[in-house]
Amino acid sequence: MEKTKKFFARHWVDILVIAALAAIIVLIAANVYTEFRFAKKWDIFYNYFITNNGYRRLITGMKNTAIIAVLGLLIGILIGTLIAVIKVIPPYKKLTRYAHKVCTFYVALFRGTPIVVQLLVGYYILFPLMRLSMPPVNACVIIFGLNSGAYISEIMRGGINSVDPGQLEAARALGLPFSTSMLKVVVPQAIKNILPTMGNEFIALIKETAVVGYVGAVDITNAFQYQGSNSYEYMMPYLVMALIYIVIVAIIAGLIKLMERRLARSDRHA
Amino acid sequence: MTDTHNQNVMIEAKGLTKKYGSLLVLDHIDEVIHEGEKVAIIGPSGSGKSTFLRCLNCMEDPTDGAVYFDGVNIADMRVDINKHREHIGMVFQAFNLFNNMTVIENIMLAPVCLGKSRIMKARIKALFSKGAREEFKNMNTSVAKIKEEARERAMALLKRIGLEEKADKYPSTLSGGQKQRIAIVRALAMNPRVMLFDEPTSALDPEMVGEVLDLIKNLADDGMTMVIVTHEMGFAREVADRILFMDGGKIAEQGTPAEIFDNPQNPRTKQFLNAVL
Repeated sequence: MEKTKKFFARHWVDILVIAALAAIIVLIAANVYTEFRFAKKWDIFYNYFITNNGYRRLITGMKNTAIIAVLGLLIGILIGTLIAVIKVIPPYKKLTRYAHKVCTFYVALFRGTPIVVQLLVGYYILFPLMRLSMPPVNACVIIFGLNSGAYISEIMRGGINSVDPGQLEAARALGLPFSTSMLKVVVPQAIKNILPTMGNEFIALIKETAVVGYVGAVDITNAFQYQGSNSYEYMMPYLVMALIYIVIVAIIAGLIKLMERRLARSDRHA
Repeated sequence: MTDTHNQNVMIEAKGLTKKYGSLLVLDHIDEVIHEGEKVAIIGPSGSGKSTFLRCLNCMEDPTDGAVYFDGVNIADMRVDINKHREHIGMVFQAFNLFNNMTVIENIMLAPVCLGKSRIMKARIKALFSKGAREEFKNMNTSVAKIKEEARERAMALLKRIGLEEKADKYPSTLSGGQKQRIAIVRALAMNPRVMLFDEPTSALDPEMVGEVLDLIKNLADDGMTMVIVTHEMGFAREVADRILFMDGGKIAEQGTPAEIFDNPQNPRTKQFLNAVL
């Protein structure tokens, strides 16, 4: 009893503020509920989504989002590793210096333009010019791979620089060529160092796939946009869409954390 | 110079010069390492001992001058340096075991990779000429065979240093002395003709120095040619046939251990030995 009295004596201002805020929120919520007629909107959404098979487009969309993000990441890792390794070759030869310039230009190009612009230019201009015709999803995989390659190359370069230079030296002293030393000794250790960052890159990639609708590929965003414009009701689809992205990203972030902990453990006991 | 070794030249440095920017680290060094010889390099820090050693297998590219190994100038950029480095083992101060591999993988890596690339090269050659095709058929080798041989040799080497039970452990679980001994047998797995030691005991706890020095002594007794940069004067005196005292990028004085340690001529040598002994 004494304790409760003391608590109120100390915190009465806070309690008042919280109560006032809660009242305001309740008032707004009630107003919004009647104004926007959530129940009716949910009915429209449900009707379209379940009864009229709107979910099928979402399933295609999720599949495409997964394909674009995963394949894009894999292509990105390949390109990024290649660029990072080229960039750490000491520039003794002319060829190396040209290769460095090409890599720098590539990274500047893909980091200097928005992904939407790259998609539009690639899909509507460059691929047709090269007489390549392909479904939009394939084009997206290629563009996203090229794009993430530029970002991953910088991450990978940091990873390679974080590996003790003695490792490369020891491999070279045994008579292994530069490429083999990199591939077998330095890059595996660099990848281990940058795995958490790579996870973030994957999450970023998943969120970036939201723009593939620009070239006519069906992804999660596009599926809900389609539904919104067909049912003339946008609120529910967009809220559900946001929720789906949050859940996906939360799951992947959890997996990354799990992996990180596993890696840390293998470091300790090795 | 002692008469116990034959006079075949193993490594010869001619006018070896190394500059970092305007800083002159090695100043026109001429030196010959003979087959079977054990050479210890001593000197104050910053005198260029390590740089000299690293120039001998071109881990550092000399700014000027030549390094002859097997009669080939390996300082020449057009020479395939990897082919020559196979025959020059090197041991580092910081061990530099590959952290992403187990002990046995560390030892097997170089023999297996080089064996594989040899097969690959023969296979590519065989595509283009009939003679090479016959040769390729007669090679009588395979990747599996190379791996098996490398594993056997690695286990034998581990047995020699009494660490065969550590074969499948990762380097992070080993003590410094164990790491350095494994780094030494990793170099030995390539059957090198000369071994370069770059302060092999400087990063070790005092109680582990002995086991590493014992292994090096053991190698010396087997007749391995070696060049050792070291701060262990007692060890240098015991093992080396010849001591090089370096100062200011030059070999200031050289001679047998007795000459250098008991009767140094150069005032810098006297000063250095007074400080460290």
